[in-house]
Amino acid sequence: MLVKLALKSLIARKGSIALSIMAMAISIFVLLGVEHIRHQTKESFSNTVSGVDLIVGARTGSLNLLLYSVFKIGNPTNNISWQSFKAISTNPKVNWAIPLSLGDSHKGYRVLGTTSEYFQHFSYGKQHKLLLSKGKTFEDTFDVVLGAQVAAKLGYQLGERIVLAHGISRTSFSMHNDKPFKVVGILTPTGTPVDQTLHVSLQGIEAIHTNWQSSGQHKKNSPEKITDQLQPKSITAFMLGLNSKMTTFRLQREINHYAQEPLLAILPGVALSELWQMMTILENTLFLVSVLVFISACLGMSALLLSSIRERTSEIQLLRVIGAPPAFLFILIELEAFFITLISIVLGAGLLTVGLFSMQEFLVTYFGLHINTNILSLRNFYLMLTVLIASMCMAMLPSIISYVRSRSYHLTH
Amino acid sequence: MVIQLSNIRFSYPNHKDTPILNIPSWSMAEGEHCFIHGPSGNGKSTLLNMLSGILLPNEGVVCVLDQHLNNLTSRQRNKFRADNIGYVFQQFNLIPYLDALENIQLASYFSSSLTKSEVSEEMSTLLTSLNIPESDWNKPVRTLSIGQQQRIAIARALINTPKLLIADEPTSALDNINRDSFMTLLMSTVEKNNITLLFVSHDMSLSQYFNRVESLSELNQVECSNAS
Repeated sequence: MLVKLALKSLIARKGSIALSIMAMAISIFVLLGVEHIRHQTKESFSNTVSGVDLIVGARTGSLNLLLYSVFKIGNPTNNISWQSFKAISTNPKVNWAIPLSLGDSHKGYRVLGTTSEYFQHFSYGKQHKLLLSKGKTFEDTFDVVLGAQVAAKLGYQLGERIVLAHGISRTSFSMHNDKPFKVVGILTPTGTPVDQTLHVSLQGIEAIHTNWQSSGQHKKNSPEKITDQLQPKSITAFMLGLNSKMTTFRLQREINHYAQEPLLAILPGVALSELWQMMTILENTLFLVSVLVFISACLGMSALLLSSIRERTSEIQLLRVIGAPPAFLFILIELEAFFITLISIVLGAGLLTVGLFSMQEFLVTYFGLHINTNILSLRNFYLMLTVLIASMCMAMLPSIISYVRSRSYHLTH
Repeated sequence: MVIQLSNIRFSYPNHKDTPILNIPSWSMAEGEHCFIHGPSGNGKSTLLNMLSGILLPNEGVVCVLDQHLNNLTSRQRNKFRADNIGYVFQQFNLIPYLDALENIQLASYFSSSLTKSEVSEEMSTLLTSLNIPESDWNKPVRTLSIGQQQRIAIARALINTPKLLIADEPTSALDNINRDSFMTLLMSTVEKNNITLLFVSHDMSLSQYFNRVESLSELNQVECSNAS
């Protein structure tokens, strides 16, 4: 009966209640959105690389190296020589080494030059290895293996021939037209930047840069014939897997003091936590702002309920006369606040899901962020519960006023 | 005795020196239909609030249906009111956004006089006997005419089978024709259910329906008559 009364009274005042619900739904949308995106970003970043002990690149900031080598965000500052890679990868502490060569693109998707080691040793998430959904890994100089998203978005099939561009912008004027690549494999989706990457051999990268401006010159060269000239002179970075984790710091120091070339070795986990430290202030600010927005929506709701008590004086009197105890009035107002918040949460969460769904592609293409559209996590459930409790606490004031009024009221017509 | 008042004195806490009520002795027997004539501002509302247990006197004893209201806790008084006293006001007798059935259910919610199935049976009996067409039972009461609303108010007041019905100017919002049919219905319903009726109005012409007529100014012996 109480629930029915609360619901019907809300429906009877639908105009003002709808506005209050909208204000609250938007505030919950912001609150949930900030919380969800910051959590998902962390997860997406942490899932991108696993099992890699050290990342080595030209001397730069550790964050910069991490961002461009793993997340393909930003640009490499400098290349490192092939000799350095050779020297370090033959170190007895090293189990495996994956060279990475960046700098080219295809229709906005980055091209990664690497070796077959990449498919053997690179892992993401909880030690998942890369898997091919179709075809095989590259063997030939002009073979390319596509990330799942690249294949899906551009509609490429096995055997298709594609042209890579120099530089990383989406509309590049310098196309490596003379060296079309053949799609030989497509990877399964990983939810990491790998999905937006085209993988070719280091020789392939080298080949498109060998006199690529004098187009036509190499057109008739057979791949076999050019392979031996295609020993790379430099690469962007490389990843190392060690035989024993215990030697990680020693090798890191060795690499950082490498005499032939200024190099930087980083531990991905440590660099990531540095990233989080930088982000914390921003995150907290955003969260604080969204909490303030929510509080203001709660205050709006309380003001609405408070003024409704004034309008409903005769209703309260009537309820008292037919035997309603003052506590009934208190619970009635609290219930109204509960329903307003509940509807707002459903609306806000729905709005967020729709928003994320439509923004997903944009976030992936421009920020390499994989945001899960499923916002129904335990974390968010707790957040929504907190929201509900907070708004009911805020509704205490009008509820108490209605309680007090109904106690002290006298029939005065 | 249904109502027994003795040595009642009352003034509001913030106006201590202006007494509202001073009733040495007054009582009503079971089955009586009493008309109290009095303009508003004579302590009428205060008296009715006291009889229903919303207010307690500063001095004296209020005894309703052999129950000393002074001795009950406020929770017990709420329950007592819901179970035993029906109340019909001048206006705003019903929650406007609920329909007739819901309004009556709400009244029965606070009382334990009837079981759920008895309530729905009793509701139809009451509404039918009060000439409310069944098609109007599920409409929000604000869409119904005032005459209909006042008749539904009787049904609401009677759902918990009270022994005492208090009517506070229930006809003042009605026109003459509606007023007469309302009075006829009220009196026959009260008669049929053997309910003691206390009816307060400033309209002397209604006294013809009653066997006992009293004036509030005789009843209430306060000197100044500027009560709120």
